[in-house]
Amino acid sequence: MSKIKQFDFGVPDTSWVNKARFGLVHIILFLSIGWVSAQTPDLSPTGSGVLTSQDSVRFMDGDRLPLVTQEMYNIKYDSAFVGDKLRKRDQLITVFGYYRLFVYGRNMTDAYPNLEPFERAYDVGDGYREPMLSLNVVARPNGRSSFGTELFVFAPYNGSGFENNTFSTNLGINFYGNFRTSNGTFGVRAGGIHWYNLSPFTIGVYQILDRFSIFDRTPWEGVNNTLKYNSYFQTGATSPGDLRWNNQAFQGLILNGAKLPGDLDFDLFWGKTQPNGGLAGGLVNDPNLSIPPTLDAGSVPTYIGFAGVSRNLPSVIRGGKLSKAFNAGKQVVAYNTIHSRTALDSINKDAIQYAVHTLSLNLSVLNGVKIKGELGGGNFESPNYGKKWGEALMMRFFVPKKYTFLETDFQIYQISKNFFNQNGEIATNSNPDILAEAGLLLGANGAGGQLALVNQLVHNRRGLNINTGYEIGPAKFIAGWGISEEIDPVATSLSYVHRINGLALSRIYNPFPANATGPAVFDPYGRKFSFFRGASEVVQTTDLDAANAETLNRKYFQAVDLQAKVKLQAFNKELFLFYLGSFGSVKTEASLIPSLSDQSYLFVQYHEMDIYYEILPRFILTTYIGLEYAKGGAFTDWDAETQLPRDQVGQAYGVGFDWTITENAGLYVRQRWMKFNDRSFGLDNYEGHETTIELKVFF
Amino acid sequence: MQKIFHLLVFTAILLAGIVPVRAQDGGSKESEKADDGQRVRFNGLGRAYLLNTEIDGNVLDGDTATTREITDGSFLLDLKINATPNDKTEVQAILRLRNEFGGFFGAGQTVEVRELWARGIIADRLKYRVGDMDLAMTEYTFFLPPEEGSANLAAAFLPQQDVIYYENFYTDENTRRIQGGQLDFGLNFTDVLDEADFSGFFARTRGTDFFTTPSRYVTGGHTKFSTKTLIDTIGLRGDFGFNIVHTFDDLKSGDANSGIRNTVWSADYDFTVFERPRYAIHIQGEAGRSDLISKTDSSTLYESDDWFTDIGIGLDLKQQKLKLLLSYVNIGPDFFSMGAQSRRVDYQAEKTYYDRVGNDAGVRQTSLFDITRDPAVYTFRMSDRLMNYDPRYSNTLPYGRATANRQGLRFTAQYGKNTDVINADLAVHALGEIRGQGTAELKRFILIRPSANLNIHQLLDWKKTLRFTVGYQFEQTTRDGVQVEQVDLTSNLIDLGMEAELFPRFEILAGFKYLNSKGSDYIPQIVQFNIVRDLPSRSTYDDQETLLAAGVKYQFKKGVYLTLQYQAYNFERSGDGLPDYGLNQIFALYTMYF
Repeated sequence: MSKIKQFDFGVPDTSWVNKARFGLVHIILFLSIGWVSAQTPDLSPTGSGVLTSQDSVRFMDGDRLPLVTQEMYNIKYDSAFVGDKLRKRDQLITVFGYYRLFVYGRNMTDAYPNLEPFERAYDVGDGYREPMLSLNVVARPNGRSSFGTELFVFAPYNGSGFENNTFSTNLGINFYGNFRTSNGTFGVRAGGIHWYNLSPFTIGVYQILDRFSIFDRTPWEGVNNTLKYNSYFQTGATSPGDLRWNNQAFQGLILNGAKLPGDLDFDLFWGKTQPNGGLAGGLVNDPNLSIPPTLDAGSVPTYIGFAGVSRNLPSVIRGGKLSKAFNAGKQVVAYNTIHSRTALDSINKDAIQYAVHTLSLNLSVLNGVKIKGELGGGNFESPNYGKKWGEALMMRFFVPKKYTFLETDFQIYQISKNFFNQNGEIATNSNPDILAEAGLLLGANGAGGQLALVNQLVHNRRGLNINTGYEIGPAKFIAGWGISEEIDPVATSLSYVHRINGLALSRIYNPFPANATGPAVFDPYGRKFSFFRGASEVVQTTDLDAANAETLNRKYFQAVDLQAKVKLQAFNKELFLFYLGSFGSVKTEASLIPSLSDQSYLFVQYHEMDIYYEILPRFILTTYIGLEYAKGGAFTDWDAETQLPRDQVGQAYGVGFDWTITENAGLYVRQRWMKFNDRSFGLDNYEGHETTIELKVFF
Repeated sequence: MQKIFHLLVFTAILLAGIVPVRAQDGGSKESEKADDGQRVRFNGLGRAYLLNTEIDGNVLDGDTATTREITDGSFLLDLKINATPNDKTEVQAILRLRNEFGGFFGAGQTVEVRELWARGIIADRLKYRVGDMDLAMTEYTFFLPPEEGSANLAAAFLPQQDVIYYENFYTDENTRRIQGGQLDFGLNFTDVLDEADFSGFFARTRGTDFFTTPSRYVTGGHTKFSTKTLIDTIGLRGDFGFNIVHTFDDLKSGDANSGIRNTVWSADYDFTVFERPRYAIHIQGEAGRSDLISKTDSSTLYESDDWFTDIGIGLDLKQQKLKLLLSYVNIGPDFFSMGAQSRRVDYQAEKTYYDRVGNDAGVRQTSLFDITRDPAVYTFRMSDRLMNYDPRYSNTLPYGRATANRQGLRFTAQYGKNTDVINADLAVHALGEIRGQGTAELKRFILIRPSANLNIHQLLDWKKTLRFTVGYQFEQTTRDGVQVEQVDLTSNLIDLGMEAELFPRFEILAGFKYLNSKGSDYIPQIVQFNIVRDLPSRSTYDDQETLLAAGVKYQFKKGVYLTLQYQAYNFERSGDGLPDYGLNQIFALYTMYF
């Protein structure tokens, strides 16, 4: 399924200095400690090679990452804070957290008609379920077991007293245990949410390190000064310290074994990921039905009733992996498998089920060349879709300078339209037959033929991606290029992300209202839908066979990502300039460069410029400019009146500041002016502005 | 409002100050009290419980409505916050955070206060406690009798029993959870009497709706006296006490105008009449009376009273580790004690899974499987009417030792300790009715329940545990007379278990339960307030239940364990023509007391 992380599609978090100050990260840290403790009972930091989470990220000079090969390395985390706390005998239970006041206001001076009367809204909170007070409770009753939870407190400050205040748990309750035998170390994780990763094609997430603007803050960011921007400049890490970025939410039971005879490790799990937990849904095509009846910005969705799927109906995912390390861990080969089954009826006769089996590789060869890959296949089956197998093959080569002059990353892949998985990094919303059966997952950011970023994999595609980069003086330049084609010409719709104002739109059209049954479609033409901190748009293609409504042409996809990062000293203060350019197109024939031509279905380009300057000590001026162009081709839906395909321009201008008031407290203000105009579709226009004020205090 | 209350409680206690803890029952643990300078402590329970249950059997023939498989579970954290602002005061709250399996990001989550109480000592003399409390007196006055369906529960079933007990506040002392206040004080003597303890309590067991349901209260107390050794040559000494429990409805509040009064008082005793190093002889028992009134503001609707007597002689063979007790009991037909006769298993409670099955959505009969697994069929509350019971599981003493309308002999024997190679128990009840139900003929009851634990590791001097457990219960009910009066119901219950420690703290568990019941009986039915209907329709049984469990358990430390189990249950019946069914269950349970 779509794998820009459904619940974490946000700007990166690089607060790696304010140690032990992330609310959410703390709990994640604890989860990791539980996990780590399964392997190292003394709770010591795991060192490199083991992905953990932490209160802070320690970026060390010796670990400087190559420009384009950084995905090969796991960022090193410092798990000392909670680890130290838990080691102290008199701290059986540790409580810490943060307070976050988030004031939100908007005024849409030109809004979609169906927004009335909510064009102007001011409130506390932006409608996403984020705590105002986060209390993390973690404990380690003994060296072999531990637990953690995060309490969620929210007060909307709406003058109604305290009836509307919320007190609950945030993510859930997690339990850990571990034990050692002479034959290996074994661990258990129970409860949830656990952030879990098996392999990219089975349980994993498409990772993006630095190809997004960081102008808007994430709710889980820390309090820091310019260090966030330094981190972004230096590593490009989007969210170090937040395991959610690379992991799927999982509830259930995970058993693992390590250091087994023969250098074998294993994982076994049984439980639910989000699609098994009632978040599955179907794409809503009637915008009038999908717009939530109440759009009170700042409301706290209850998340109850998603998809109408009873949680005690059978819907579980199970699987595991068996891995073997060679050559002191430099070469790792693993067999990974998952099987998900969701009952469709009460008597459990009809079900949607899919399975994936892969062999994943992580190898070092030829004195510096690193190879990552995953080779396997999967199947999908439903009452109206017979069981069909499809391959998923990907190899990626990271070649150092000495071989190619520039550090280069090559990726080749071929993924069948019958390969389906809602929990892996491959977006699997392109097969309309499967989409009709499985629906579009609530939170998905694409449907149909998805216009993907470089290295973002989509099924029913074969293609090639190349990344390279160069550093000169205070500047870094990174370029990515990708080309792919449909294996089977099946897509009758395309989709692309509105990157420039997507976050602001999703705050207006909340993708997770109570009792939601699918993604919130919100525009007058029923083609835009929101997801977590973003919005996408569906494009209907028109080159269809009149007899069966199937597409007539195979589609070819092109993508180019460009990035420039500059760090300067101006008047002895740090100045950061970040540029992101992204281009993508879909055509009826192969093309090296994304462009608009007679063969084009769609051409989209984004340009984003962030500037951050510490004009006063601990006071950083932040600015943002974003431009977005999307043009439809001849074989896409036309406006009935103008008889023209979409021709969209999106603009955003932002200004604000970060003010680190004290070591543990910060004030963050952002003002965004946004404008969108489709010159062909007369109703598809909006204009307005958004103001956010965030006060965050850690304790 | 409630959430905010929870938050305030949590925050207030979280921010409380620091002084050493005083040792008191139910509060902080001894080990924690050694922690210096801490006056707020956190303990509690964490639990992850995941279950997958499938149903099969003839009950599904032609069925298009019953869910074939249910996956459920929950993750919960009970955070016990214990504060001791000074060495004579203690406050404790338990906050429960619960997350339903499958509920992501706030869905299916609840936060509630599970327990809240305070206690202390006034003037170094008087102990008080207010709020939630667990209370037990004697088996005829205020007591929570054990549940049926088990002769010697295998270790494989204990984790689920632990869940049931914890959820319903059950303790080893057969206490019942109430909310109110309690005062205790004691006296020491120099002559004849050694000490005397006095205790009184007052609790509300039900709130009023101000219309038809009045508030209900229970109050009572006991005095306990212990003598010194009165005659040294024979070791004569004794313990005796007086108990009273009074349950009543408040008819002055609101519009409710009918309610009950139930008073039970008794005297209990345990005299050691002869004691030597090798053996001792006891005379022990209890006798008392109950009064029950159902009334309105101005008139009495129903009234009854009766006596009970329980007297026994016990022999304690110390060297042989054998304890024997032979008792005569006579519990009057109208003896009624809400505090002692209210059962644990409520057969009218809605089960949490497969409560209804089949196309007609018929209510599934509560079975051995439910009694073993489902906390929802259990209660700790007091009932003002005799609760329903299932004679297949318990017909002789469905309301525990205080079951009314019984007279006869009881014999119990206990041999060995848990650490011995063998420890065993035997209980034999030969009872009969005092008053016939719908007939002058009286039912006769025979209940024989032997059980034993065989510690093979003790026998072979192994370090790792290998234990087999066995229990058997034979129960027979008969009544003579003409055909319509005749009753003949026999049931056999077998419990088998095995615990084998494969690696240190890693055990393989196996358990087996079998119940066979055949015959017929008239199950008493309540037609008016606590009046048993004479000769209801006859119930006929020819049933067979089997429950097999197998799995593993790893104990990280005492109170922290993970168990994975498979259980297969089968219910075959031919007596009532209803279809058979089976339940197959896989579950994982991670329990963490901290």
